[in-house]
Formats: sequence, structure tokens, C-alpha cells
Amino acid sequence: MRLWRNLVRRALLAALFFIPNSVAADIAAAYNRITGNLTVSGLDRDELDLIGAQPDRLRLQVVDSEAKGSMLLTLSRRAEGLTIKPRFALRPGTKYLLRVDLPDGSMRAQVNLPGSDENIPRLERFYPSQAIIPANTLRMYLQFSEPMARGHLLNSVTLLSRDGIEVEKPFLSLETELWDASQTRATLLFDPGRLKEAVGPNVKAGTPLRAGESYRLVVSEQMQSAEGVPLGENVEMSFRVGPDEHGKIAPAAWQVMTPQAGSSAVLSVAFDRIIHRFAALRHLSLHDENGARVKGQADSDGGGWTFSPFMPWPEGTFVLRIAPALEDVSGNTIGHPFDAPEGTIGSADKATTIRVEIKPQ
Amino acid sequence: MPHSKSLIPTTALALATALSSAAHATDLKSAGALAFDDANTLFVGDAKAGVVHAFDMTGSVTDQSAYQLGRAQTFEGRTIFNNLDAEIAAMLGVPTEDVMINDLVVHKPSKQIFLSVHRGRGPDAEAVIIAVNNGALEVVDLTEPSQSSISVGPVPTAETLEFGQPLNQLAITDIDYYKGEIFVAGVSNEEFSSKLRRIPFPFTDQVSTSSIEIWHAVHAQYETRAPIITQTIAELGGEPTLIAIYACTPIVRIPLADLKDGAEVRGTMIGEMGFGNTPLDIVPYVNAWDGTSNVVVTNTNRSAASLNLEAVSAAAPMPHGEGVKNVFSVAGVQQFPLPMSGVMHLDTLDETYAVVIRRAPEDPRNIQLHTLPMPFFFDRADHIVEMNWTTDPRDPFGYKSAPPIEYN
Repeated sequence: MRLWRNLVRRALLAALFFIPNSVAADIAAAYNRITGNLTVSGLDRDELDLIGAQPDRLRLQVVDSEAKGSMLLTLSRRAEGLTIKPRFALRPGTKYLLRVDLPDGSMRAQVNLPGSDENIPRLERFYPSQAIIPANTLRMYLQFSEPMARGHLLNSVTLLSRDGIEVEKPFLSLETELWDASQTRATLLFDPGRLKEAVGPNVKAGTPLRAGESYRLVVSEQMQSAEGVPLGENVEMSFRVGPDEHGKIAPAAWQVMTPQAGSSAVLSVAFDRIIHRFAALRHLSLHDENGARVKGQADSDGGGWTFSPFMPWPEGTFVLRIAPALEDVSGNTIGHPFDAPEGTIGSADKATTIRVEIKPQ
Repeated sequence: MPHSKSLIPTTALALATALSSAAHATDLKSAGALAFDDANTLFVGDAKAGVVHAFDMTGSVTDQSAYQLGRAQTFEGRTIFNNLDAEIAAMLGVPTEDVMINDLVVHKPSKQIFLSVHRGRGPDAEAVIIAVNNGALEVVDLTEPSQSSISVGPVPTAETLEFGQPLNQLAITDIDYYKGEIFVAGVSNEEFSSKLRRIPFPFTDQVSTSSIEIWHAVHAQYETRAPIITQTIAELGGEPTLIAIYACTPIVRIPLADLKDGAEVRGTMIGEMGFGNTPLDIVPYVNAWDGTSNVVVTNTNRSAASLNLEAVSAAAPMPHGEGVKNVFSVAGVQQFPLPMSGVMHLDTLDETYAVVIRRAPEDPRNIQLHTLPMPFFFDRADHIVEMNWTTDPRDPFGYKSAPPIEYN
């Protein structure tokens, strides 16, 4: 149905430079999608003079707006009629009402802008993607297929325990939602007061996630894309919860599987715990003996890190550099754990390195 | 006339096109936290671009001293706008739900209110600054003021661009100006560290952003990291001090002298505003009735509170260490609850009035721009009190005998 509508829209767009689509009969307004202007016809010279003297007689509004004023615009007279240049571009898929109040009554024209391509958004993935995550996990990420609308995130997600009981306010309510620039990836931050050991909310309400339990994170069917298209169906993600992770990240415990020289095989690292996937992608880098960064494609699922070189591996010593900002999913770093005993935080952190020897067969 | 329109004769058409094509400042990618310096510089947090912009608004501000803000003697505030979001939506030509009002700030010398607004909720939302001019809304033309910017977010380097565009962003939660510097707090979507950026203004050519990690002692035997949500700077006992409120609402005091580049500073935790709550704004004000200096803190899930600065200065650090019992709720430095809920943004207009964007007490769907008389941030009309009842002959404070306010 939606596909059919889109096809019709596209056909209309292709066929028409001007789109005359006024609903009321008395005046007509045509939208020029190249300039973004509206051209109004059906006004005589006296009426145009009157509007020129009293521009407040003309109002352009979103249909159903109850506000008194018009949207900001500039008017000009041309041979073909009155031209309206909106200060802010008219939005695709929106219906506008043009109203001109004259002494003998008001004249109206409705302008329906065609929508842009509306794709139904999908929730593609969530992170951490492991089947069992620590009870003190700090954040979860939702990856959507389309840019999503801001402002509805916390109302759209529900965390349910195994028996279907809703976990009360598990996520931090911030004034600003945390999205990436494309607004396809949302960050859900568990309330830090619920995660830190021995902090009031933790003691009173407990950690939002309890070890040994299973949970479902439900994203509402009503969550909308930036184009206003809802998900259409509730999406559920199930995961189990293991014990808290309170220790520092221990790169010494990582297992490195090295490829042979001359091959283009993947270098892979297995972590000692679930590392924050996006931090791993940013904070791990492979360098040659001279310190130059090796070119290739890195990937991580949080459980490990893989690196495919663009050129076959030469024989030699490489260095896997781990920036101090690397965090696991519970906020522990190499320098210190998230909940640090008093007096242990404050030492300057340095990058940690792991030597990788690439040997011939 | 709230919205300006003009009919331009045909002869002037070419000029009109040239003017209107320069109507927007193109480098404002988003508009969040707002602040003014002591003069006319407006700071705008632009999380999407990862920068703070500074606009010199000299010549772009209009004196508002003739606009009546209410009648403080009878505890009456003024509703400047009902359905503020709908009014803005009408100007911008979008449905009301596509307007996001992100912050509010007052230019104190002129008492003019400025709002940061997004037109749309998608990644292509347009950022707009709106001024309130004698009860009317105006879009500020940001191509007029001279502008400078400083980077505060993750800066993509040649290397990070080569190895993939980073997805991390800093959501700027607060900007404060104090004596030639701005202090920028933010929450990362990927990292948990609490970094406070201290930046000299005017901005220098170099990106000289200081990153300061703040560690604070929390209850019992742990110290930990959390993002600062809102902050202000005040002199406590003559010493400039940052008063910051964290996500899980500890109140922390940090002398500015401790905030050095690269330093890992331990703030002194002096209070706790209670769990299940996020602070919104912390704004300094002077209580004109007794001359005391205070800060007002607004919250998402608790009513607002006032803290006296002498008490903040004198407050003992909250006990921590082994054997200390946990704090469940409000504790530490004394907090005076204020009858303010549903407040989304707050700033002070002058020594008598504050201005808020709030959900109307009788209809939460109505988002109001409303003034509140200080020092109690209390509007008599919001509450059911005997002094409002017309059938009650008592009038101990003379409110009923006061003539009705006729606003200009």
C-alpha cells in the first residue's frame, strides 16, 4: 500500500514542475519545488494592493494550527501572481493552509506537499549483543535502519523482567537524548546511581539488572522515524544477566591469534570480558615497529577485536595499542574500575601495548 | 505585530532575493545549551557540530524594561505565552510536535529572553534562536552578529577519518560564563568519564580546551565517576567556586583554582538531592528580601530547591569512608524546597522576577512562558489558597483590594 503510494507520488513529481493542488476554489496556490516558493493566483489588482498595504491579511499555516500568526515569509508581486517565499522551507509530507482575509470574506487554498520517500524503520541490532551481560552494564545501544525522531526514546523503551514485570526507571532521564549524528543509533544510559555500589538508589531500588535473571527490552511499535513513520510492531530483545564486572580491564589476559606472514588472514584478539564495542573500535589500533598505523579493516563484537589488513602481513613485530579511555560495558578501564575504593583514583593513565609477532610459516 | 512580513514591489525583487537567501547562519548545526557573558555575547552549545559558538549580539538585543513582568507585591507572575511550542511552530511552519525547545537564557542588561529551538526531530532539524521582544516572538538573524567558535566535542582527525567516521558525540548539558572563561559540561554517548572544559573567552586561535576529570566521593566507601549535568560559579568566602550537580544528584563544590588542564580533581560532596531524579538547571539569585545569595535548582522528578550560598560555603563534606551508612534521599547542605514543578527551563530576569518554560499547573499540555516573582518563585494564581477565594472576606495581605493588573 505504502509502496503504491510512493510510486504514485514519484510519478506526480516526475510529471509536474508546478503542482497545482489547492482544495478551496476561490484562490489557487502552486508550490514550486525548485525555488520552494508558492505562487498564488486568483487575486485581483485591488486585492493585491490591499495585501501589499496590510500583509498581515495573508497567513500561511500548517493545517489544523490553532496559532494566530502566520509562518515567516516574504511576499512579492509578479506577472503570474503573488509569490510567497517562506523563510523556512515548507516540509515534505505536510499540509499547509493559505488564508487571505479580505473585507468581503476570507479566501483559502490548501497546499499538500508530497512526502519524501518513507521507509518503514527497523530496529536492526542492539549492543551489547552477547547473550549474557554483566548486571552492572552501563549502556545499551539501539541501531535503527532509518534516522529516528528525537524526543520519544525513553517513552518508547520498556525493560521487562522474566515474569513480565516492568523494571522501574532503569535508564537515566537526561534533557538531551544521546544519538549519533545520523540519529540511527541511540544510547540508553542505565541510571548511574542505580549501578554504583552502595549509593542510595542502588541500595534502595537495587541494580536495574539482577544476576541470574532474564530480561526483555521492548521498543514500542509507536517509536517514529524522523519522517514520522512508526516501527509498526513492538520489537523485543532478550538477554540474560550474569554477575557484576568490577575489575580493571586486563589486557594481559587477552588471547591474540596471529596470522602467518605473507597471508592476509585476520588478526584476532579475544577479550577477557565484554568490552564496549564502539570504544574498542576507537581505542584499539595496530602499529608497525616504526609506530605507523597499519591500514586495514577493524571490527569488534565486544567479545573480541579483529583486524583484516589491506596488504598481506609482512614478517615482523607489531604493536597493538590500547588507549587508556577504553572501557568495558560496565565502565571499567585499564587504569581503574568503575567503582574504585577510596583513594585509588587519580593516577595518570598511559596507553597499554601488546606485542604481536608475525612469523613466517 | 508579532511576525514581520513585507510586500516588496516588483522592482525590488532582485534585492529581496539576495537578502533572503542569506537568512540563516549555516554553521549552526544544532542549538542546545545557552549562556550570556556579562555583556552581549551569546554562547550556543552545538552538540552536532561539537562546538560552542559565540555571537556578539550588540545591536541585536532590544531593551525590554517597558514590558511588565507581573506584580510581585501581590505574588502575581505574567504568562507571556500560552502554548509557546504551538506559537513557535506557527512561525516556523511545522506541526507543534516538530518543535523542540532546548534552552532558555536571559540577556540581563536588556531583560530580553532568548530560546534555542529545533525545527524538526530528525538529523536534519534546523537550529533556530528565537528572541522574545515585548511579548512577541522573533527569529534571530544570526548572520548579523560577528561569530567565533571553539571545538568541545570529539574532533575527527585525519587518522580517525581514514579509519572510519566516529559515532561518538558530546551532548552539551550546560555552559556557564565566569570572568573571561566559559565552563562546558556534557555527556558522551560512548564514554562515561566526567570531563569539564574550561575555555578562555574571547576564544584563542588554538584549540586550547582544558579537559578536566572530576572525581567525587560518594556515599559509603566508594568514589566514582558520573557526568555533571548542571553547574554554576559563585564566590564562596571570596573564592570562585564551581557548584556542580551530577546525574545521580550529588551536590559538589570545587574551587576553580583546582581546575587545571589535565588535572584529576576531587570535588567535595556537600549534599544529595535524592535519587530517581535528574537536575535541570542551577541558577544563582539574590533574595531581595534579606540580601542573601542563593542558587535555585530545578529537577525532573522532584520539586525545585534553593540552597543558600553561605550554607554551601560552610557545609562540611559529607562523610564517606568505611562504616558510613548510605544516604537514601535528600541530605547534606540544607535545601529549601520551592513550590515549582513542571519547570523545563529557568533563568532570572532581574532581581524581582524569574522566567520559566513550564507545563501549566492546570493543563500540562499547555507549555507556558511565564514569569515568577522571587524570592519564592511563587505565583499565587497557581495555587489554591484562601487569599484567592472571592467568597472569603478576609484579605490579610490586601491582595483582593489591589486593582486588577492591566498589562501593556
